[in-house]
Amino acid sequence: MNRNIFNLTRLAPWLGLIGGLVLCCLLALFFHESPWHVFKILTTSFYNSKFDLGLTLFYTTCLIFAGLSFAVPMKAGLFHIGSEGQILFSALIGAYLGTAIVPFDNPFSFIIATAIIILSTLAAGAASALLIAAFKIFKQAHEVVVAIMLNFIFAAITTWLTVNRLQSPTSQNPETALINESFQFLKNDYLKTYFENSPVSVFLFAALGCCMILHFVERKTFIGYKIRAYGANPHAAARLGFTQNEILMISLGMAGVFSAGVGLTEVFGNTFQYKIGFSPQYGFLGIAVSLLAQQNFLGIIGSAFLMACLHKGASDLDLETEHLTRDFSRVLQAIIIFSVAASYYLAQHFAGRKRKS
Amino acid sequence: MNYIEFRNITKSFGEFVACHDVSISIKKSEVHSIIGENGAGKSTLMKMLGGIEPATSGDIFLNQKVYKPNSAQDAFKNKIAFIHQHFVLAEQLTGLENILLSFSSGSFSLKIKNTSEVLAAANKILSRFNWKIELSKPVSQLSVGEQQRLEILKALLQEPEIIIFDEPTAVLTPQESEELMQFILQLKRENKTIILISHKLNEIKSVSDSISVLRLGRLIQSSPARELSIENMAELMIGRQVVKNTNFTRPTEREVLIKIPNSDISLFQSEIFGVAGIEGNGQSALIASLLKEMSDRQIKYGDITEDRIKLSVFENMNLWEHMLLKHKNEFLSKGLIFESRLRKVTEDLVKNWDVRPVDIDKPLSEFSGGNQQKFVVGRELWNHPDALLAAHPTRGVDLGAQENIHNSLLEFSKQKKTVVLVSSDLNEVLYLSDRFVILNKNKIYGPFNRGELNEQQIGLIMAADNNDGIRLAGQL
Repeated sequence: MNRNIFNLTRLAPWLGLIGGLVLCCLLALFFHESPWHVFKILTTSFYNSKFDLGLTLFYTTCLIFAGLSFAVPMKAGLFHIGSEGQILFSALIGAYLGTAIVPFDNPFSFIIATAIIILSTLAAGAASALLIAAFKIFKQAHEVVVAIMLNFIFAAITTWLTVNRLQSPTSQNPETALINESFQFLKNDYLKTYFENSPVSVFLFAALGCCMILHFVERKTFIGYKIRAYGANPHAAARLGFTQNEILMISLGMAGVFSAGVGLTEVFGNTFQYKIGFSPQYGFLGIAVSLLAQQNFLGIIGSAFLMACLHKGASDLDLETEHLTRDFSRVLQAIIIFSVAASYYLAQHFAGRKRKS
Repeated sequence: MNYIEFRNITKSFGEFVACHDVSISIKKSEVHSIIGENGAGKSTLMKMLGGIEPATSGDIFLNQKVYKPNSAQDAFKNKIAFIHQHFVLAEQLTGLENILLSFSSGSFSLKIKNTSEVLAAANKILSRFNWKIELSKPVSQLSVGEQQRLEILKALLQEPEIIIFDEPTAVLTPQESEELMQFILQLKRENKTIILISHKLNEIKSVSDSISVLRLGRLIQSSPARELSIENMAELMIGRQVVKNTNFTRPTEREVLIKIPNSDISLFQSEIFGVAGIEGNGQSALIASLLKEMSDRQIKYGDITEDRIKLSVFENMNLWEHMLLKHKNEFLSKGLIFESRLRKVTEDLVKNWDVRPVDIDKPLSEFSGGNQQKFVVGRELWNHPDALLAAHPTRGVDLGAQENIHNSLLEFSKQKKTVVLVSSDLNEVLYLSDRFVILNKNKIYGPFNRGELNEQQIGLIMAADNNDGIRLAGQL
């Protein structure tokens, strides 16, 4: 364990976050807005109302899953940026199965059907992530390149399927039909009611549970050490008999499952259908979430909430300011992700140089 | 005042004091050796001279002036060259490209030295020392000895006055080491000042003018070489006498453990089986097939890997985590890790094997090379395996630890166990092995019994292109 909490490598992403925030606020000057005003909106709009807080918690749920999807492969030394494509793919599968499967009118049939849908969605996520592993194992392709191309391919496939095959007949927007009514059981769950019908749902607890389970698995079972060992030194891991294939399958498979968690949260906890463009790039925001938390599974909860607040604030800039638009919020998020990731890499780079000398 | 003067140098890393109030003076144009066990502070002291680490307190004087380098570049400017124990070469680039790289001054400098000029200068040095390196070949295709010469060449092109060698012979064959020692003497004749860090006391004895002995960060003695015998040096270094264990007898009836794949050699219980040869002659293929054979036959084996940093050390993982990775089944109960037992066992291991500092939460990569190796050897023997692969078990390890490792290999083999000792250090193979084979160009020659061949005959088999008539046991 790294005992020195306040060393540069650990602090770097936070310095990056602060730097990115400052940069964003200064950028507002170009649009004749007060940086202070922008900063206030970014940091405070998440608790304007119960609904707002609920919305922020919904974002938190998605970002926890997306953050986990990045963090697990990172432990094995894999830079996994394919979460976005996996989210879209699994969400569409979930939405399709939700419309295609109609349970009989008894609780047993309903439970079986729900289980089938959830497990298939998770499996779809895992399968889409294992594609990356397959390319790496059979073609020695680099995971970053494969993942980024698959992101585009999955986006294209899901869009095509939605528009040409699964388009809701009752809507003019590009989206699928609503899932079967019996599967919309989270519509009136306790959390939703408490937060004035905002998108938040019990998936929040599932996300928190995943973080805790992973934290436990990492420290108390062998698999966590195995993955970390592979990440630290693949050659030495192979000598101990941990094969690359095994580690790739486990870490990327899990990453895919967590990506599918985002899809489930959206389709079964929020809109009950697949809408093209529903994800404001959760997959990429997840990278920043994970890096801020230094891949600490419990830390991801905090950093996901922080990024959710910023995300909420950024989307409100449109309403709360005169000149800034929705597109500007995307610019802001890109700057924040960029500066967090860049600072992480710079710190790693300098730490590596220091170690070598 | 002498040419280089260390005055009351202290260097601490947090609570750990690597050098404590060390004062050494080094004359111009002499070979000054610094000896000491691992963690004695030799490398740290030299890193301060090389501008890599600043001293915590104390001064260094160079040529009567205070010398306070802030970086390795400062050391360059003061004509100090540092030949590191681990080569600093870009493997995929050619020798010449590596040399050109060493000339670029800053990270963002676009200025490149004229290639033909550099090549001419390089060739001049090569011919001066009668060396042959193909500078147009990628470094990865050069032998270890050639890579080291390339390192030295790189350093000499900067026309240094002071040259620091940090354990230069750790990776060389006996012949190469001998050549290097001759080369060091030649440099001395050219009025260079040489600082040599090494464990190999006979080499030191043969070339040094003065010797400084460090132990646990303190200077024990600094005196002219003629006043010290090899035994004196060893004693000063480890603080007690070294006892060499040379007579041991083997039981006559021994059972076969396994056969080496692709050969007709059987390995017996209660023996140390040596594998000699220059590195890169099939050692890795032999090790791989042997390990596979042992795991296929479910023989419990220990594995002291041939390349510690690449194959045994996980960065950012501490000692007990390394222990867990190797012996997972011993520390799992119902799928969960039994951490208190793991910590206890690791702590005992660290104490038994005298790994310093005693800190099981410290990453293994932050220990010195010798301490890493002591830990690895201890860990591999911990669960009393039936066989042990020991590849270069004492590479880069100091005398005290070497003795310790050798004795534990002997001790281990006496308990009806098999040790396969792969080493490029011929003395080590001859000293320990009951039988040995020689590898040359992926062919296995032998096995020969202890004392069957003399060093010269072995050297011939190791280096010859054609070994017709020698017992051939297998092909890798």
